Amino acid sequence: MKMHQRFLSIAFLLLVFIYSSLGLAATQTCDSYASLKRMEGQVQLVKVNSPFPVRNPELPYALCTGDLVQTVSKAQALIAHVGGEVVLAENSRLEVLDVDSLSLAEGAALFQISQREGHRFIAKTPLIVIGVKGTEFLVSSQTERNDVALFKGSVAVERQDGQEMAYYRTKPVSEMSFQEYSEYQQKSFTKYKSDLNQAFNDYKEQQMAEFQAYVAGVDLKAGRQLTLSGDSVKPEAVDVPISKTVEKLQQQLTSWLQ
Amino acid sequence: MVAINWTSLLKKQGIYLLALCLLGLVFLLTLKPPVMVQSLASALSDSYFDWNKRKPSNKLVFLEIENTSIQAFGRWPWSRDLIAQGLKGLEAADVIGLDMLFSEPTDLEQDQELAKVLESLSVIGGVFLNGPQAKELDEVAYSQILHSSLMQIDNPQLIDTERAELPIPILREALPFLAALNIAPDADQKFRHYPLAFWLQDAVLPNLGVQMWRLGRYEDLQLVEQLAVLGKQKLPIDKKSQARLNFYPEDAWQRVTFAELMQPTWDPQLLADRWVLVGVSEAGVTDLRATPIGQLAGPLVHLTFLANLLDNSFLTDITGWALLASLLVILLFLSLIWQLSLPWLRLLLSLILGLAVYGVGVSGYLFFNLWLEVFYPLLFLLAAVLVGELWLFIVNRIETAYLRTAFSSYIAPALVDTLVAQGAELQLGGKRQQLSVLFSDLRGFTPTTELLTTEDLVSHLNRYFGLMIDQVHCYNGTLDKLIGDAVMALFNAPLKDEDHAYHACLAAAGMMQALDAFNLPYSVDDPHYLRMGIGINTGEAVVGNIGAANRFNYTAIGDAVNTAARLESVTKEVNLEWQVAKQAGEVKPCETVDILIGEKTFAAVKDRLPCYPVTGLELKGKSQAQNAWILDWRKMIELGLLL
Repeated sequence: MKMHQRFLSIAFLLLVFIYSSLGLAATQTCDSYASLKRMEGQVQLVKVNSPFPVRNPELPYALCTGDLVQTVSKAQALIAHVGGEVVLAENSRLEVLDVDSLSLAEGAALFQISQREGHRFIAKTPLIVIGVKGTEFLVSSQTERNDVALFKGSVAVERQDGQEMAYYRTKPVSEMSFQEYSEYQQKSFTKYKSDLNQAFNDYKEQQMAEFQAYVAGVDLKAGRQLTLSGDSVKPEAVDVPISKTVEKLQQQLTSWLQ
Repeated sequence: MVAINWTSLLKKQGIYLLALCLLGLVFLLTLKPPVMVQSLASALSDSYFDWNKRKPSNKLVFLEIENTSIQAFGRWPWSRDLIAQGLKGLEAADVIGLDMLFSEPTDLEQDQELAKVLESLSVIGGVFLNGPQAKELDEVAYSQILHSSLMQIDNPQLIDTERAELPIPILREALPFLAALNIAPDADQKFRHYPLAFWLQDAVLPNLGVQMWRLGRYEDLQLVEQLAVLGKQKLPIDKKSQARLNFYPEDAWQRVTFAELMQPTWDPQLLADRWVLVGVSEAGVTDLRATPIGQLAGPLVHLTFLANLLDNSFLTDITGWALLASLLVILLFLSLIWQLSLPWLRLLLSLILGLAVYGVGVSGYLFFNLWLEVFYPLLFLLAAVLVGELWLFIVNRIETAYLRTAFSSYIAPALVDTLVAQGAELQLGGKRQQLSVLFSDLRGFTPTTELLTTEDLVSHLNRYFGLMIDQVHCYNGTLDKLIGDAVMALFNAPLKDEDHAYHACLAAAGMMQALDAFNLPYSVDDPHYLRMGIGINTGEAVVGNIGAANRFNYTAIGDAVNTAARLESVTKEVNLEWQVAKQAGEVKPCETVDILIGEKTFAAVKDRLPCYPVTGLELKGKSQAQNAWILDWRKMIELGLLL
């Protein structure tokens, strides 16, 4: 009789445990540091290890490590992260990594990162790593090249493979002679290609950048844009004032944010 | 001199140079084959599939709407409630693919009924990438396409389409997933490749087979530029992200007819965990696809892709460097074949090589899933064999003509043929070697000549030489030269003869016999009566074409040659002594001394021919007395040694 009672109570406890764990699994599948807050146009949300996107996700939608947010033409998405907010531009793909980092697999995104005690936010692309402390910057990742434009604060940019790169810098407009300035104006306005996919060498030429040094990382100043070549044999980076294209993209993404 | 070397080098190596050029041409052809060539090439390698007897995986089932079903339920298209009723019987299936398009609305109730069934199944609906412009897709339809699209892509090379024909909205929204139903034919309008996905606006819509795998295995297809990875399998794809299909025999598929499905006795559990593709195979209704194994219903092409995935049997094309290497291997074998001198043997071996190339192609396909377009290696082989034979023929003609002019006057015509046939063994340059030299001269002929008229002398001598030269040729000798009334002949040069000393002796005896017959009409006192002495010696000498650039003879020089001449010159003297001794009552083994042979010649023939020694001969130009042997030619005739 006693044995029978004990058996029943164990079985009951076991049932409760199984039920509760099933319930937990249904409501929360991971530690989430980010969520999809808002979207416009066709935005796909793909859970980690799933080949298919989530159908009609309810916003805000909690994102786990490995989850992907993807936009097509004329679409954008706002992702809130513990570290700040990210606006994903059209034709882009963002992967959620962990509490301190996000990865832009393809396309462009505007990061607005708030400062947190003892935390350093990291934004990645397949090519580069960007270390951040409270700042606003825009990242574009294309096959040919990567761009980082800094609007506020400071960021440090390194390559994923840790290689040194030839660092070129365009003088601030204030330091240019009149002749240099007019030449720069002519190049950047008459022949301007408003394309983040413009060939790197063509772009470097147009920016009249001068070689500075070989560096492993670049501390970017506000108002400047760093463009890195996709070349892994002879890595190069060009530091220039923020371009019109990027500025326009930032304005568009910011206005959508507000 | 340099020019001569250059031409001889070209003559010898030109064939390889030509073959290399052909190889380069064929390789260039493989890089950008014109449509005609491509079709020819495919037609040849399509025969590989005849060797494939594999069965596709049991997991796949073709639910076909075929003749009996059409007869049972009337003409296609059927009413949608009938289709709905049938599809209900697939509830146990793991994945269902619909190779059909519901693009026209029919009776609303029937459409709704089908929608209800579709909603309850794990089913993939078809999108036909033809028809209306896809730009007119509404937001919901585009969203559904995107929902079914590939996610892990980076700049893939795909067929781009701007047209899409979708199921009507009520059915489309009931379908959990959509997929493309398109297959693109090769240049000759045959279907051999399976496109993995298509660009449709910003979406990468997978083909039905890919989508069924994604749903069945819950694994995504990654398309990164030229790389396709599905789960853990890397798929070999071409420049348009198409996989080469490995076809199974048409009767190897598991089929269930729609009519069977509608039987009241149908047990849905029969299809538990199966992947079912629903499609029409009735010839009058569906488009039959021309494939390497004949006309195949479209749904079976999608199933072939899935079966290839399941047994991991996709075919990898052998192109680029691998193909070049295979051409080089053929060239290697060909150059070995070209070493042979018999044309029929060369052709036979080339034929065997061709069959072997095809065999390698088939085994590469059967055992390693490699696809060699065997047309190109065979084309190269055929071209190289034809050009090679032509080259060898021409070179051979040139060489033969040269040999005939160079040797026909010295060597028996039959021997010239042997020489020509063995052309490779012949060395015309100077060479030190063993040989036997025969010298014959007429004894006391100079005085005789004064008694004959010039015409008579010339014709008499010509008859005599004719007989002598015939004898030399008869025993494989080479006539070196005629010096006045003397004959010089070589044995073992330029044509190899292991038993040259013996043959030289036979030739000498033959000459004596012929002279005997020649002298028969004349009395001993007649000036026409000729007497001859012969010296034979064996030893080392230098042979080759000796002379000035435009006037040279093939001849031999050296001590062995001189000794032969000296031996001949002492025959008269030795014979005189021999006759004197005979008259003195000494018993001699033979009547006369006509042929003297040297020491080495004797060593080679002593056991086979009758020889008697003569010691202490003093030869001109020799410091020491020499031994020589008398060859008894009469005895040789008696023994029947001559031909």
